[in-house]
Amino acid sequence: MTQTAAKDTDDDASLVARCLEGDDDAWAALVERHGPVVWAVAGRLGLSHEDAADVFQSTWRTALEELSRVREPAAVGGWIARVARHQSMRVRRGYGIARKSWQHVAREDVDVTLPEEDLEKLEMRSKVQGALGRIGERCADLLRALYFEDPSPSYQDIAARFGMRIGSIGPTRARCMEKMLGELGGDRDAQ
Amino acid sequence: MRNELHPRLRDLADLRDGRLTGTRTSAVKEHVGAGCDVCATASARFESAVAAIAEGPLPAPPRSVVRQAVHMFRAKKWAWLLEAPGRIVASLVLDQRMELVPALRSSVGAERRMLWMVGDHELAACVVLRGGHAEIVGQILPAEDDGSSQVVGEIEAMRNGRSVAKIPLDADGGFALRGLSYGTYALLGRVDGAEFVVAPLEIGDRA
Ligand SMILES: [Zn+2]
Repeated sequence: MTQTAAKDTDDDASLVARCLEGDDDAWAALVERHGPVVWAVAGRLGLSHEDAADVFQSTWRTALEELSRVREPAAVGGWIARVARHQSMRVRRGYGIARKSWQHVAREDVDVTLPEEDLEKLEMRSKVQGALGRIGERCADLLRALYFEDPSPSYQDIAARFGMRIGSIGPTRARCMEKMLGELGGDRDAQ
Repeated sequence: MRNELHPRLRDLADLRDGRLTGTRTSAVKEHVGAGCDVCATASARFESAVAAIAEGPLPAPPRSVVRQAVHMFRAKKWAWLLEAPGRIVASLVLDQRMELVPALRSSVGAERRMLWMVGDHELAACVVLRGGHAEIVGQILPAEDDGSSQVVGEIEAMRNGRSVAKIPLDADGGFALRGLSYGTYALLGRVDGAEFVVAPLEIGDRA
């Protein structure tokens, strides 16, 4: 039987399946891929560095315990993000209790939430980075040049840099974006 | 609204980026302006992807934190192997490693004899290190063997959840798994209809 090591481009469902077969590399890939969202959730909820590190571990421990029961392995990223939010809110409730007891926790440190919409935006940032890694370097570079670089380069600059006619930037961008949305669509439909 | 009437993504993207020119401009603007749900959804998806690209990657968590989470997998993965329903977990009866002096333990060609109970069977194996690689030569027989036992089964060496070697047992229950690189293994097998697992098995000069 020949299997290759888990790669960045493997989809979540196959990473989960490999984890359940005991594949260390697949688990590492899962942690690398979705770790930034977990970390960002804890950060958005205002946890201290130490508490965020604790939440990171408790989130992944929960993931490990529950992995075989995840109903939609393809949507495991969203599920992990919600576990992270739940774990972070538990820590936040501790901050609230500390405020009542010791008064030295600022009011604004207590009333923080992470609405579903914001959570989805964090997830989207993570998914988009994953998708950029799968649509080919040239497409990824073009989309980054168009929408990430600040200030945004002119079409003349882009044409020169990518060695294409100005007239083909639009169609190429559309094709790259279609690839990107195709990648994201796979994730979305699974939820 | 029929599908072919919707503007292409390219036109929607051009419209969004203020680059829609030419003869299609008015038709696209009119179509989108009329409140087409399909195009509104497509544009919204496009927009949210663009917004996510614009925000850039999320900051990476500290490496030490990631590493800790990666490492917690080790303990659990053995549990998955061992907890599989109907699988006999082999119990170690003898490991010569415990008795070897350290110098012998790491020398090339050193043998390490091991013995497990697997339900009603005994699994005896010898691990031999040969310059970076190891082989496991062994035999599975009924514990009450009178010399006439015919054993049917197979054995498989798993590493990181992947099968690296799989062979049928010979009629005497013998097997040899060769060319194993140093690392932590699980041996999965079937013998006379029963499934079993030996895990974890550390193989190498540090084991
Ligand atoms: Zn439309």
